[in-house]
Amino acid sequence: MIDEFCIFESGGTVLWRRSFVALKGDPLAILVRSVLLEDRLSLPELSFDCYTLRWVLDNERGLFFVVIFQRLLPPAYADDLLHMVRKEFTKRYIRPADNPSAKGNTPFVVDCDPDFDQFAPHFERILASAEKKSMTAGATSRNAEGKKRKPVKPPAPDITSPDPNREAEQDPETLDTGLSTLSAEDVVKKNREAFIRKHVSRKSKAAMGAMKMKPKPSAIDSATTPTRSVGGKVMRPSNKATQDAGPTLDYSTGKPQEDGAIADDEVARFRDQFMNAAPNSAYDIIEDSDDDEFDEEDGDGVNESSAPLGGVLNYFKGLAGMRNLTKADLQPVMENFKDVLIAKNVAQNIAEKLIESVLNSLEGKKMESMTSVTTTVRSALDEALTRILTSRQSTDIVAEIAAKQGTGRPYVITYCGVNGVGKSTSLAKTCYYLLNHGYKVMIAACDTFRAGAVEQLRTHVRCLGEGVELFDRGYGKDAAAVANDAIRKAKELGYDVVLVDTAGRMQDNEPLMRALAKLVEVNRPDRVLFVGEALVGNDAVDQLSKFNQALADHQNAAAPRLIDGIVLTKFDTIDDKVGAAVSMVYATGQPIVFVGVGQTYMDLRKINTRSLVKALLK
Amino acid sequence: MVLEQYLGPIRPHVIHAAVALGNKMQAYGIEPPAHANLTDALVITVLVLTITVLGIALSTLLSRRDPRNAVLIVGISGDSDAPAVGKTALFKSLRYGTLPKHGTVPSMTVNDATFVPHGLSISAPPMRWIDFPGHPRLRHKMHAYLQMAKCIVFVVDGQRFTAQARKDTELLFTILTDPFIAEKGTPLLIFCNKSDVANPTKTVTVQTRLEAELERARASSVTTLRSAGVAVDGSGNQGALADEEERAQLGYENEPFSFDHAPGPVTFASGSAVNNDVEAIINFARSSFL
Repeated sequence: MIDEFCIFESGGTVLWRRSFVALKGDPLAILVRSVLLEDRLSLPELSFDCYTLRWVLDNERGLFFVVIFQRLLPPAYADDLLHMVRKEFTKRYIRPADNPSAKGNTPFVVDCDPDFDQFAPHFERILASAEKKSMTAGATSRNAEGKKRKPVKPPAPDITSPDPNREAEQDPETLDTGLSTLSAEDVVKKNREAFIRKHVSRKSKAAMGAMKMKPKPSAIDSATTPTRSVGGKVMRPSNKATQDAGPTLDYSTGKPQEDGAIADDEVARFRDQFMNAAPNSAYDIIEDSDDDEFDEEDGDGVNESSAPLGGVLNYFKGLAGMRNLTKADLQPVMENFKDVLIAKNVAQNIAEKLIESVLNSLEGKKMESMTSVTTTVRSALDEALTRILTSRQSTDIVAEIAAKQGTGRPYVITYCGVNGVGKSTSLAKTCYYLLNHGYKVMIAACDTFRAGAVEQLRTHVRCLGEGVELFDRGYGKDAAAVANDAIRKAKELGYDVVLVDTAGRMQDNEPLMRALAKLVEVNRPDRVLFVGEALVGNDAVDQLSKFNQALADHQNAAAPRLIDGIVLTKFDTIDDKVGAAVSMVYATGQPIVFVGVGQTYMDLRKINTRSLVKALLK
Repeated sequence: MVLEQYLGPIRPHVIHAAVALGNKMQAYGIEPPAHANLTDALVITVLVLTITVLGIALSTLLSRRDPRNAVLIVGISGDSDAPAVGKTALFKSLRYGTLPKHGTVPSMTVNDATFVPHGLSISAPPMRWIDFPGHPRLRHKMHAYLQMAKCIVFVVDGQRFTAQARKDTELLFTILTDPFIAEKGTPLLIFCNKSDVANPTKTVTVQTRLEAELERARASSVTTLRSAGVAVDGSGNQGALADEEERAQLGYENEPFSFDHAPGPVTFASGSAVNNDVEAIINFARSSFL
């Protein structure tokens, strides 16, 4: 039940695609921007909207194979299909890779052969066989094994619904195809074709509508068996009502009545199995057998390198730039680099994810001549780190303020973070920086909790002198209201910037996080800066993600304002253990806007990516 | 043949080495060849090695003399709510005369190829074209590619220019203040893509807006923050570093910026990758290569 299959190359050209339904938006672009360019290849799949994307990389030639399907209808054969198509496609079109005479500017010249339409029949064949394979797997062993495969395949993301229910609650279509496995092969084929035809003809909006009408699996997971299958049957007409071509879509015509009976029977049966069986042991076995398929492929690499003669040969091949990197080559080197990163204070899980992503992007690549695996990995990691630390959007606050100056509204920056990280100090430094640019700044003292907070800011304001004013309402007031008043006053008096200081709070303190979310929601600041110490290790990610999560959870607006910048303080105290910078940026994808490097107002910097990366990999 | 007589001052050293070599061979149980032959062999080996090393050094020097041999296509990347600006599409359009049949996705690597633009006679000299991805995460690589550029085509989206002008400016500013570009005065074509849509932005509008935005960018860049890094030498000192990136100055002080003040000639054109209306780019590239 896939929506689209697509093959593209790293240069950005889509080589071939096969759409079964028109897609909403551009999922591929989102995949590239949010996974491939963000070094998040450690993810197994990407879900957004109503789609889920899975992919397979061919690093040697820079090819990406992507399958897109409805999030709620994960096809069991997605991975098989991807691997089979990759094999077929590379076999069919990419011979120049090992034929130097046909070499173009790039290692392979897929580009020059724009006629990939011939691939369509092959794809159909592969798709059919993949479908059949997954179906026969289900048909031959009606009991546990075949069926349980399905829930195993789609991993973590929507664990909210217990797997067996999800299986049963799937769109009636799934049930139809499921029961068609009982019948002969040609029926399978016919059904599939009819299904595809219908999907193509159906307008995408109708499809979306149908999707939305479908009840969420988790909503009724406590319902009993009979009601649920009734629910399934009721769904069928309601779903079809959105289409006009009634008769062609009625799958039951081929095998009248008894199919339906079997379907119900079937649903009831394997639900029983799920409910009665002890799931865990069965899971393990199946997972093992699943893995074996892949291990076979990887196994070759291991054997090659373990044989002594092969080792020598490989070494020279590596020197000559003829060897493809295998997981076995990379793993030990990667482990080393992971330790290096962790030693540099990168949070452990971030280091793991990052390393895995780099590993995925390197596997199968050809080594350059006269390089070792270590240098290859180092340069790949260097590039990945540089990419991560290079910000997606401008961090030039001054330019943004200048752009907003004409609008009559001040530019609002909110500082938040845990206690004692240096929010007020950073705020004062920013203030000094902005005053130097000739802006009029108002500071809103919204830390109405800690004793001395307002006085501290007042002292800063006195020191900073002209062009800055403090707005305070004393202690114990609602911070959101204070900020709101401050912004209103700043607007009246023609201030350019409002800096909002908030009280420090621990990330697990829910009432306080709620208050922060309220402040952000009410005042809609232009920037929400998270202030974090460069000293923290594993906790950095926890702080940031919990702040972000709290902001997302406690705002009612459709598009909640999240943290969109990081201030890294106490950077002068960490020597070369700069890992926190990477952890924080990778955890949120947000840039480091300022770095605090000392006690004076002048000690505000921006980040120097190059030297950070150098220090990390030293 | 006895070459050692031409060796001059280093002759005793060579003879000494030959004797040592002979002794060594004897020690390993190999009958050493005649002393003169051994000396010759040594001299010839050294000569061959020297010539090879010199040759390699010379060839790299020669090839490095002017690395600027490409037409560089740059521009910002689209984002989630706006489709691509069309750099890859332009690249393909220039190359094949048609767009990629199945569309494009944001590029992750450069497209780099040498070809004769579609529509020109085969006998025309081929040019190297580089399509540099617009995604900000890849921008750190741009400096290296700017150094390969004989001329630069800066693509803006004629359909969404107003919304994207600030991003365009940011990238354009980075290019114009790149020390290499400032020094060489690389010619720049600002190309308004998507002239096929209804109401495409006029090139005049693009020019005025970009000039105004660049003026603003220039003003705010005067006192940017220094960057903080880590002293890799281990001294543990923080602060500004030697590898802080240098930026060239753009335009003249006390005078509003205009494209006449840019380091190299800046021209404007519009066209469309979709309709293969890329004449302006081809002409621009050819004139730069003359």
